[in-house]
Amino acid sequence: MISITRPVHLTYKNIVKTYGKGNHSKLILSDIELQIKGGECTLITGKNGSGKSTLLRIIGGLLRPNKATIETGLITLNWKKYRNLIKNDVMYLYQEPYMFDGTVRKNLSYALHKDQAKEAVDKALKWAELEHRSNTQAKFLSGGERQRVALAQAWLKQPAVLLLDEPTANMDTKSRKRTEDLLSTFKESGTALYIASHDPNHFHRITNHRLLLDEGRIVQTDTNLLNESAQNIKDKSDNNITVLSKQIS
Amino acid sequence: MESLATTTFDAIKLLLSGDPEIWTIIGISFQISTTAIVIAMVPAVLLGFVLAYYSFPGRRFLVAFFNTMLAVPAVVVGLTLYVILSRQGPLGDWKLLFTQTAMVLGQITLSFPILVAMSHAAFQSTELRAWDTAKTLSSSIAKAFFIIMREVRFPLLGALLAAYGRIIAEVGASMMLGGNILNYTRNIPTAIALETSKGDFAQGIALGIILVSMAFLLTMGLHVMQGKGTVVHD
Ligand SMILES: Nc1ncnc2c1ncn2[C@@H]1O[C@H](COP(=O)(O)OP(=O)(O)OP(=O)(O)O)[C@@H](O)[C@H]1O
Ligand SMILES: [Mg+2]
Repeated sequence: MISITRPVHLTYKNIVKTYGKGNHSKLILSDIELQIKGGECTLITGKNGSGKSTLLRIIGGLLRPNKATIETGLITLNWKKYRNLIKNDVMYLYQEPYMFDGTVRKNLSYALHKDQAKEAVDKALKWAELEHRSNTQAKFLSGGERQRVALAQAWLKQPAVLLLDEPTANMDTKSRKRTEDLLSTFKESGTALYIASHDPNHFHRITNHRLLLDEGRIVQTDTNLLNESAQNIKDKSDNNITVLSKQIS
Repeated sequence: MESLATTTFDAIKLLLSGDPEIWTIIGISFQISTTAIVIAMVPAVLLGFVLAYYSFPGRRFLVAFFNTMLAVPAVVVGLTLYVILSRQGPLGDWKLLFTQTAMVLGQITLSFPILVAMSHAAFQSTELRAWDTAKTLSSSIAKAFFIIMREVRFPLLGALLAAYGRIIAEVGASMMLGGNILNYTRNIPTAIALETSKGDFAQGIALGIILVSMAFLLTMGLHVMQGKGTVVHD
């Protein structure tokens, strides 16, 4: 099985995407450039319709761009090669993850690799705090629970890159925090995270970089957010908490 | 003509007595139709799947084509194959006309469009998200396909039943291609047509009872399974 070397470092250049053909075509992404690095979390923000989902689906190999160059550091890939390379390494999670007919356990078992033991499902259930739901019909779960099933599936697959489309859009603060905690374990294990969110303040505890998408371009880039905040805390130790939250919001 | 009640009574008596002629006819019917479905099933479902999830030039045309084929009467299918298989036809040398093989071919031709159109609809009934998710979770396309097949198993079963129902009860093609030869190509519908024209209603009704009970049992079976698939046991 081909796979990409980990931790990943991928550079995407000149991503262009239009929808529709001929006179009706609409430019959604023009000349996007970005990097994906293992162990780092990037937040893509932008208003509704700015192309966040489109971008994530392209990176995830689910949507073909009009143009794109992808560099692994060693070689430059065309789209077809890229798709083949990432098949088992890049995982895209929908805002509302699709649950297959069957129990939660069944849904998790679909993510098992053929030489992965069945017990891994139990570990995944525990990891996502879904043990009490293991025999529930997955289609009847709440939005937050579905999201945790999807994260548990990702945990079983251990992708090099995890792409999340508005993972906490309909969640209350508590569920959102829980999701953040789960996501930070991915980061720690070296997975690269790319999260689309219309709210730039979500995930501030784990976000390293933040990109603002507008009119098909990245109009603002904030990098190394976590290091900067750490710096700020040291500098202004008296009221570090207010500083930290201001810095990020 | 005797009263309907007496004839029905005779029909049931005929079935219960294990009349060899009638049970041979029933056996031939099921054997031919089951063979046809088993052969048509795999390529048709694969085609329905490809039509639902892959775009390629000619896809729309194929969807329209198979939907049109649904409406083509069985006699027309029978006639076309008759011409092809008849002695002067392109496949005349195979000497297939008036054999069970010819009937199987006819029934494959009749069931294939139903299976394609209905399995296409079945796959389409799940969102594209389902297929994308299956691919994301699986390490191979084969496994993703299996996950999706399981997801649409009830509509797929429905497609199989509808196709089976059409071919087992169909007279036109079977009559033309099989020739209604006793103990060989005489199946339930051609027997009913023949016996009724001879005025032997009891046998016709007996065979009719078999068809209707089969339809009932299959539909009920599907219903029960579907119920099991959706009710939560918590
Ligand atoms: N399949 C499609 N065909 C045509 N246009 C599309 C398609 N998918 C998306 N679009 C358009 O592309 C633009 C970007 O859509 P996209 O879903 O990527 O935005 P988004 O930033 O994710 O928005 P949101 O915050 O609402 O999720 C929108 O104007 C949308 O209408
Ligand atoms: Mg979106």
